[in-house]
Amino acid sequence: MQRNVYLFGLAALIIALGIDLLAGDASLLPALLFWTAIPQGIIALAAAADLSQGRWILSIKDKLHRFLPLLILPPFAFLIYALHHTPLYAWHEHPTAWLEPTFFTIRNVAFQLLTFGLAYLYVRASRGQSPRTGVWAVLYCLCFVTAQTMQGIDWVMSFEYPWISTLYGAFFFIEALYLGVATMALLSLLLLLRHGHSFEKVLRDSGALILGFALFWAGQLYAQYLTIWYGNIPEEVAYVAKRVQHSPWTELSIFVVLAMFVIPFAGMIPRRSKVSPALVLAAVVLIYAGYMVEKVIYIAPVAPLSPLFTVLQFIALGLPAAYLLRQLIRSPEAEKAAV
Amino acid sequence: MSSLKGTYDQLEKDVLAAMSKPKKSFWLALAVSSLMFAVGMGCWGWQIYKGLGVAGITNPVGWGVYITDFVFWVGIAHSGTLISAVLFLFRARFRNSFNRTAEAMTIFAVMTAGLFPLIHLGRCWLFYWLFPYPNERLLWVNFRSPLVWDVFAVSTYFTVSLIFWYVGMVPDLAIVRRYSTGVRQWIFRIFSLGWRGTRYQWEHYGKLYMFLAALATPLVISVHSVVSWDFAMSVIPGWHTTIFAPYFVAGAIFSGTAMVITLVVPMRRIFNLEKYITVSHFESLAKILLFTSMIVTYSYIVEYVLAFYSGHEFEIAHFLYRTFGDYKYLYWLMLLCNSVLPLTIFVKKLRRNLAYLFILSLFVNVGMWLERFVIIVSSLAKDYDPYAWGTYTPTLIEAGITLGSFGMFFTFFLLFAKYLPVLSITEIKEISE
Amino acid sequence: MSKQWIFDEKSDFLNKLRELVDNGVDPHALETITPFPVHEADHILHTRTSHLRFFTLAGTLTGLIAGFAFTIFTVMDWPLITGGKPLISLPPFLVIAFELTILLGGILSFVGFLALAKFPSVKNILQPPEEFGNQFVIQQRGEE
Repeated sequence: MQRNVYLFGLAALIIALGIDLLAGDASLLPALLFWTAIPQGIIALAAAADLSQGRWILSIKDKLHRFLPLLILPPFAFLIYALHHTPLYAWHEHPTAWLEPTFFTIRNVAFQLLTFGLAYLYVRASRGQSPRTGVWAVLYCLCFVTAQTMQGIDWVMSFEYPWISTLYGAFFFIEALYLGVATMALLSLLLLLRHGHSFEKVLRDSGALILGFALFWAGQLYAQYLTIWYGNIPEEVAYVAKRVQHSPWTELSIFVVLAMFVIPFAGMIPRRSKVSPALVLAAVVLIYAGYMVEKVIYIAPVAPLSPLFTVLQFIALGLPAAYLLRQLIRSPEAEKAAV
Repeated sequence: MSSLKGTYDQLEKDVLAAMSKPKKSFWLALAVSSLMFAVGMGCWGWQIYKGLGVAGITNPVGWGVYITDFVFWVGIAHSGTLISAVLFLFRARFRNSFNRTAEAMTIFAVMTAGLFPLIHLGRCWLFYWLFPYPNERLLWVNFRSPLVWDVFAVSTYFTVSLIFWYVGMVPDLAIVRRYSTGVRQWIFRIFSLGWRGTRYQWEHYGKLYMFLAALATPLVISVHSVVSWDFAMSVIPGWHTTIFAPYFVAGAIFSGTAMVITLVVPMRRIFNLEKYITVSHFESLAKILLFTSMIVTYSYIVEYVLAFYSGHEFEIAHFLYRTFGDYKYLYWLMLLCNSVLPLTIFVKKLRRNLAYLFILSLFVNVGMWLERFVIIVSSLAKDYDPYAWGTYTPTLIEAGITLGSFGMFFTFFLLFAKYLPVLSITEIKEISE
Repeated sequence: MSKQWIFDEKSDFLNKLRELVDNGVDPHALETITPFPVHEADHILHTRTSHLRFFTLAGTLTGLIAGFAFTIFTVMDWPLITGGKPLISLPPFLVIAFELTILLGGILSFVGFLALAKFPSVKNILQPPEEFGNQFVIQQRGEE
């Protein structure tokens, strides 16, 4: 089954390359960010559970580990993106030592490959219940944090060079964890529907985590917004003003806050909604949509981005994940036989 | 199957033994901390008499040791709530051995912290002007100011923590009531509210505990974020940066966990509670220490790197000043204590060695105090305009008041250890099956 | 005529409880006294979920509304313009509203707890009833 996921990944890359050549804009980037955040976030959650010896996740941990093959997409998809689109960046004409096309491409591909490598070593150790699982879990988590930070700072923030926000990179890995939690909730609810009550506890815990992460996400978004709003420094405010004071970005920004915070948070407060598959599914879909729209808001004001191609790339890069999800939900016996 | 009742009875006796006639070492510790407290109060009295000029704060460094102390003590408070509330929601059982002590630490740390805005006011008798109430001057406080947010955040934190701590103690106060006589029994009868342990009492109690934990959790994040915004809402380099909120929260939990270790390692020995607070519990605390240390290190790196990345001359100049300027020794010591030394916790033998953890926690406390000092003073000493550059040296009065704050904290803590149950007896019983 | 059973072991306590309920004793007539909450007993006796959540909800909503209402009212009453910010500046007011949400939520939850559990129980403070320590007790209220 793992091998098939890799094959789907390869197919996805070829399709994405084709669409990217057709599109000629940055439409690969939002999809790439999304499909990187989910597997990285999920493996990070599994690693955190291993490090804290959390028992709540045990029923689902091996399924979380199976997201590993998806991590082979980011380095190569990013390579496709970087080879074609570094001219879109503000620093392309006036490169610095750090922001220079070749170094930019090589270091990010290398880091994504390293992330995959460490994830592989961690998953192998955890599956084999090796005593060195903790070591690999820590190394993976450190790499995850750095990789996500670099994605935020290099891939997205540098569009607006020299504008900086020190929380930007951390915000990206918080979002990756949030997406990971949402995906875990999605997996739990599908497993609950298919296989019954043994997955109810994990679903409830995932729902509670969505509640917590929604609030945490909103808090970090607010921390950035408030600091920039209050300081009112023109060079700094311009970034935010561009994205909240002009249509259609104003409406999209409101949608992002509703979809990633208000609705999932309010929705997951009542006890019963945490175990209601319909409500959790709604929250997860909103979180996914909110994330994609948020990335579009970051990128579109400064780089060409066509909605059609963004959606097509989202579907293309999502093929291996869709296949994986289908395989994970099939009956455990069939799954064991297939592996 | 042997009766658990015997275990429960023994647990009660062990914890209550800590509340009986204390050893000489207790009285010595109480005397020392009370003396420190008295010195602090004396220094404050001198400052009220002579004016704020006896402190070293002046242009351009208008905030110095007092604000450092304020942020330090509020930070210490956060770990208690993390252990009581956040770990409760995460169902981490190891918390039950020290959540009572940690919550007590929170209360006393917030009380100590709350004193510093008053000390810093100079004309501290006008402190009530900080609260919004209808007045003859026909004005209201400036809700747009982070200093007013502080008033609300710290007051909320104190109130909710106090309620949470007290409510958690009610069943334990009922236990102490059972073993007490005379006046002591009357006091515990009143404060245990007539608790019996009926099923509806437990039902309401359980729900209240969970809701308070759920309410206290966002407080852990928000209160120290608000305190960090005292700095981040300015425009000077080194202060105006978006990462301050999570950076300070992680730092707060870091320093608070270190203080828990500093307090509980000796307390466990003095009160013979080794059976209930084991080395494994400390190992879990050490892991939290390591985790938060790494978040703080991440923040240091990101701040530093992005300053150079941005090419912004003032940001670069500021970080060079921090590293090589007037306060460089404090900065390097801070990095050693906060980022380098905690890495030794990766070694299992070290993190299971209580003496080592105790010493490490002392270094972390020093390092985190220095971090606040370096952030506050270095940014104020050298911001945009060279005309307004200057340095700051704390005076003896400020040192005395800082010493007094430690004295106050330890005095309250020692009194708590003597008069109230230091372990959460009921919660330990619950998980011992 | 009321009856009382005292047990040292939780399992014996639960068995007796199940036996009583199976024999048709009305759960509302049964009271338990335990050293810590016993959730299995709550299941057997169909203990109603506490209504505390309404107090908490009331508190948090009041705090949220009061936070914004108070800040907006005071700034309209004493229009203080600072740093070029708008008079009604919602981002900072959100901080105050958030803190008041938590504060009133916490206080009202505590008040609700005292009201629902009928604390302080003056009767029990002045004349403490029998103490059972670490034993599990079932009490059956007698018919009058």
